[in-house]
Amino acid sequence: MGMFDGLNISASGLTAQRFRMDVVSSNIANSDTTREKKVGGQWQPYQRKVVNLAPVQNSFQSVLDDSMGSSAGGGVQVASVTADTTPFNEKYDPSDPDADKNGYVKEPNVDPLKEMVDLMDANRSYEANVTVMNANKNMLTKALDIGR
Amino acid sequence: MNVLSVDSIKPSQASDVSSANSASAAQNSFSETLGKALDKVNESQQTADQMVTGLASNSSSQDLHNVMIAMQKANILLQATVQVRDKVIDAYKEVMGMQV
Amino acid sequence: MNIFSATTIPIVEQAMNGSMAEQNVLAQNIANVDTPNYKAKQVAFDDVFNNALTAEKTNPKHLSFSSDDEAGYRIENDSSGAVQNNGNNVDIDAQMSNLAKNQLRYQALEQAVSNQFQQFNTVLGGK
Repeated sequence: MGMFDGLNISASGLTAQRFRMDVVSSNIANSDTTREKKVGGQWQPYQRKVVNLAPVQNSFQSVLDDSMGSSAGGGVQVASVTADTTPFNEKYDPSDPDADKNGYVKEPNVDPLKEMVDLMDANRSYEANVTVMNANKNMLTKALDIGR
Repeated sequence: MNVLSVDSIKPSQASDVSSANSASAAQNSFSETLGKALDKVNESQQTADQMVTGLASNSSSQDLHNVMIAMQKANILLQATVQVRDKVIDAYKEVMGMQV
Repeated sequence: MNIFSATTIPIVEQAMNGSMAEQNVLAQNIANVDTPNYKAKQVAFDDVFNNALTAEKTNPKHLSFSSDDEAGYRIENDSSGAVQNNGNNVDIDAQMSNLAKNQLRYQALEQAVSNQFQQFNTVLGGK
């Protein structure tokens, strides 16, 4: 339990939210990529990436502190980035080189509207973390004035 | 003619010893108190030093306000000790300056 | 002979510890506002109930129920927020208002303790 724990926790929140925004950017940038990787000899379009967050609990000491009620926690971290398994959209375009024998082209399962909502959500959370960090900094600065 | 024993003229020794005892007892208790107070001041200085070291090496488990409060406490105890020292020295000088 | 024990300095210092703990808990809750299945935490300050619930230790090395019996506060789960679809129950608006309250509380405590020290300085004739 150090004096800068609060700042470290908020910093981890900022990092996690920025990472989410980066993933959203990547999803939107790749919303037309029809060839991401080969699966079973076939090109597969870009699969939307999803960020999974988890609280930080990286030692037995921190788990013990948590359950004894003496520590607030260690912040948040990105547990994994997984692919969204929603089925791909299909578009009828026989002239496209990626069309299958029926003339359908598989397109990435990225929905721009959903990505925008995620982006706004991550932005709001980012700002909330900034507010908390500023409040913490103000408190520490005030503590320096004790006795003056 | 009865010769009074010289012994009976001497003042009672018991009260002499007790007053000497109470004087030295008062001296002892003052020096004890002073010693304890100085120990407390030293302790507070050491606590403040430990906290500042923890702060400097970033290994402190205390919050910033704990460090600041410990520093202020040590400062005030030191000031108080200096005042006591000054007063004791003044009292000593005054006593030594008395015309006998 | 502790000249500070008759003042409010020890109580205020303990309150500031609790306030800092609250700040850390708020930071943790807000950092985890989007984490699935995260349950919000809160700081519960000392009261009669906690005092009554001290562990009876048969061996001095046994752990007590609360991490620090003298800390005056305990960090526990907060179940007042509504649980969203992803299992997260952090109410961000409540957290923000607690943040503002806590900041003011900490600053007020700092003024109180600062005032005490200044009074000592005045008495001792220092600056």
